[in-house]
This record gives sequence, C-alpha cells and structure tokens, in this order.
Amino acid sequence: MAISDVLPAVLLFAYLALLAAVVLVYGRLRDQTMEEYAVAGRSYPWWMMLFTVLATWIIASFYTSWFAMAGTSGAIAFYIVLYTIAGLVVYYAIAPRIWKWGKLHDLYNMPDFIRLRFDSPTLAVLVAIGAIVIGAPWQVLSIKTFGMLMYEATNGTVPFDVGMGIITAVVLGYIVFSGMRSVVVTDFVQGIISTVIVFIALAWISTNLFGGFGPLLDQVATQQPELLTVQGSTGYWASIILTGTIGGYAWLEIFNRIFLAKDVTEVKKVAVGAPILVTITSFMVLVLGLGVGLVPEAAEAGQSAFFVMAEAAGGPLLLAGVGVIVLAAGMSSIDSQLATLGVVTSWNIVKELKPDISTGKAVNISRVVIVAWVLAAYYLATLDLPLLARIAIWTYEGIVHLFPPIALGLVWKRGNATAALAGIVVGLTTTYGINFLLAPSVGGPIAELAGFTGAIIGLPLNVAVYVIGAYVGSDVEYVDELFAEVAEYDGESLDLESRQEVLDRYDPIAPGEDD
Amino acid sequence: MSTTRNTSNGPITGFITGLDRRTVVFAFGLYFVGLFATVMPPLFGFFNRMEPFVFGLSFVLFWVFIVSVLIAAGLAALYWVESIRGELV
Repeated sequence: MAISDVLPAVLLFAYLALLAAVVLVYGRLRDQTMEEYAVAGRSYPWWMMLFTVLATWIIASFYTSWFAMAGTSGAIAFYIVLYTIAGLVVYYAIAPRIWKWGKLHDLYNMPDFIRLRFDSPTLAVLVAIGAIVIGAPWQVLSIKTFGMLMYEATNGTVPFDVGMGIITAVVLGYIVFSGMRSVVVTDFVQGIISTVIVFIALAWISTNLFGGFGPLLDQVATQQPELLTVQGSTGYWASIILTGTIGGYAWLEIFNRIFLAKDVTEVKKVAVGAPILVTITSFMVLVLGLGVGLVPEAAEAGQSAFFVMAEAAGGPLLLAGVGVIVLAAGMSSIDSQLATLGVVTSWNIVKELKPDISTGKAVNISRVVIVAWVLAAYYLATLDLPLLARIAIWTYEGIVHLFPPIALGLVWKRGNATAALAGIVVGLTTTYGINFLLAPSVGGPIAELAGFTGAIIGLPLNVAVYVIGAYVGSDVEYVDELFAEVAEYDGESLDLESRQEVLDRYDPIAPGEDD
Repeated sequence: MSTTRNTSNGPITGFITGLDRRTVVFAFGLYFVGLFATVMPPLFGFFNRMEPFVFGLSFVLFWVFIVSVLIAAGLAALYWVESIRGELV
C-alpha cells in the first residue's frame, strides 16, 4: 500500500479527532434542560451563528452532485447561488420576529412556532411529522455521500460502507453527547473550512489544471460554450430558484438556527456577514465545476469529479484537503438535521401526546430517536437508490408549502389552524399531483407549464386557500397580544403586559411534573 | 439590550432618520424585488446570453454574480439604515 493511499485516510481521521476534541472542550451541555439541548441556551453571537447557518445550508452534495451538474449542464447549476442569497433576504425579513416570539415563549423549532401562532397542537404535530418525512431523503443522501467521500478521498483505502459508518458514528456521538451546543461549535469549525479554506483548494486546482480561472473560462468558451448560458426552459430555472428561496427557511434545521442567537441584533448581523461569503464561495466552486469536461478523468468520474480534479492538481495532500472540505460540509448539515429531528420528535410529538413526561426523559427520547433513525438511514444508504438525489430536490416542492402559514402568520393577524392546514393539503396535493402526472422525470421540468414545476400552481393555491380560510374562520384568540409583544419587546425585559395576556390564554408544552 | 437611534446630525443620518418606516421598507423591498426580477422570466431572457464577456464570464454568469453581490450589499445597507434609525430590535 503506497503512502498516497494512506495519507488522505490519516488526515481525514486526524480531522475527525480534532472535531471530537472541539466537542469535548467547547461543546459540553451546560445543563440538562431542553433550552440547552435544543437551542444551546440561545447564547450565540452573530459570528458563530453565521457559520452554523452557512454550514447547515451548504451540504456535501454541493461539492459532488452540484459540482458535476455544473460540468454537464452548465450555467443552470448556478441557481444555487441565487436561491441562497435570496433566501438570506427572506431570513432577514422573518427571522427577527420569529426570534422574538421564540424568546418570549420558549420556542425551540418550527412546530413550536406553528403551535403558538395558530394555537393548535394538532397542526403542530402534523407539521412536525410532515417536515420530518420531507427531510428524510436528505439524511440518507448525506450518509451515502460520506461513503463516497471516504472511498474517493482515500483512493479506496476505506471501503464505502465502512466510511459511511465511521463518519455517521462520529456525528451521532457528539449529537447524543451534547445536542445543539456540540452542533454549533463543530459547525463553526466546519463552516470556516467549507466557506473559507475551500478557496485555497479552488485556487490550487484551477491554477495547476488550467492556469487559473481566466484560462479555465476561456477554454470552456472555446470547447463547451453551451455550458455558459442557461439552456432549455427558463421556467424550470425560475422554479428551482423560487422553491429554494421560499422553502429554504421552512426546513426544520434551518428554522431552528434562528433560535440559537443571543439577541435580535445578532440574528440580523448574520444576514450582513453571510451573503457575500456564500456568494463568492459557491460561485467559485461552480465555476471550477464548469471545467469538469476539460479533464477527461473528471468527466468520467461523475459525482467524484471534485476529488479527481484535486488529486490531479495536487496529489494525495490536496485530495485529503478536499476530502476534509466535503466532509465538513456534510457533517455540518446532517448534525443540524439530526439534532433538530430528535428534538422535534421528542418535544413536539411525544411530549405533546404525553405531557407528563419530564424534560430529562424528553431529552433521552430525543437521543433514542436520533440513534434509531440514523441506523435506519444508514441501512437505506447501503442500498442502490439511483433516484435519491432527484427525490431530494423534489422535496423542495413539498417544503415550500409550510412557508405560507409561516410568512402570513408572521405579518397578518388573520389566519387560523384550519386555513393553514387546508392550504398545505391543497397545495401539496396539487403540486405533487401535477408533478407525478406531467413531469417526464423525477424533479424535472414540465413542458405543459413552460418548464415550471408543480409548485408554480400549488403554492398560489395554498396561499389562496389560506386567505379564504382566514376570512371565513375566526382568528386566534390572543393574536392581537401576540403582535403587540413584538412591538413592545425591547430586547431586555420579558415582563410585558401583552406577553402575560398571551400566557393567560395559550397552553404551551411545559416541563413535566418531575422537573 | 436596547438599540438607540443614532442622534448625530450629519445630513445623511438626518435624512435616514427622517424617513417614514414604510418608505424604508418599500424602498428596500423594491430594490430586492427588482434585482430578483432580472433573474426570473421574462426579464431573464434578456440577461441569459453569452456576450458580452465580462472578466471572462459569459454575460449571464456575470449577471448572476452581480445580482448576488448587489443583494448582499443591499442587506448590509438595510442593516446600516436600521442601526441608524434604532430599529435593530
């Protein structure tokens, strides 16, 4: 076995050991409360928030599937840049108010928010289950990517299933150990790697393989000019940007990030620091991806193209570096997903149905749920699932339907649980009905809709049903006070008259009798 | 923690603090929506072209980059305006 086969594996394992050390030193639970386990005590400054938001957002598949997409389909892959940046505008608009309600009413995640806003435990449970199911393919995809990453980055030294198992076990370990606090501290490290350190790899690869980004683009313009414009229907381009922008902050783990901040100002600062960093990072990665077709070995490698180009440019050392980058991106997304999934299951489903269990027991149930799902997802990841990536993209068509009750619930006093649920049901049924009936392939454009996808019809219907239901039905009893709180809260005292009036009428999920 | 309105008397600060909240929201909303509209059909049809090349990028890729940078700048500007107006909380 050559040193070139062993070196990347050694460096990757050294990185995993570093993460473990970070968790042990900085990521321990400070107390055994759900506030600590679910939202790390709402204690983080904007610069920690920034990297956990970006780290959660940028998944490993960006460096595999989407990188390869740039090389085969060209400019359309850059939709990711646009929906990420547009999503941060959405974040700036909605996050401050969500954070305030979170602080005033001990909210941990999106189902909590829905429960409070619409005074409906039933709707909250249904939304929790729906969001978990819709998000499930992404965890399986992440675990699969871990296997590919370890195999490719170590030149086959670490077999696919073994690599999947090792990384999954590490992630599982620190989530179960310390919940959201360990997620945030590791995301800080991993976010820096996948958004800042990556520039070193990009510069190295582009220079050694092409002579720089300028020559790369010149060669693409000469040999594959079709990659430099968006081919085909711009309706599909618009659909994937819109669903990404609108649906982005409805994902459980992304929504949960909002509650980690220590105050509203820190929430807003994230939207100042994140955009330019993620724009430059993602754009440059995809520009490099345009060059995949110029390197025959990379063009044949499909989703492993980034690894192949790294090894060709810088040998086993750069291959290992790229392996760490992709590993960081993958771990920092799945840890947030799993930690949030565990909390939502235990707190918003189990404790909703059995209110008397203690918070400590709820935390332990969360850990059991996470382990059980990871084992199931690992098994699924060992199977051959050729449509998995497309299914994962298609889930955006579903998650967008949670956005109308969130957004309208934030800014409009009218609205009720029935309107929200009816809108979601009608929207989902319409969207997937159209997609299943008319889409030529999973997640593909629909010719009858000028390339748009089913959500272009389903989402407006969702909003229309919500609005009709809002006018026909009655408003939430304490909605005036709920909106008054936002205006009254100055970031200091929780002792607000409007808040007390809400508390007098809203029955929250509360600590159990044994707490 | 409270964020107090900036009370310095520069002309720009004075102009910003003198604006109605709705005007600020409308102006920035128009800015973001306007930029976004250029990457959506039908306007995107104009920008989705190869030439002219800018810094080696096809025009559409250059436009995607510029729109993203301008949106990022807009968010920073909005934060700055809100900090002057004492509206961060």
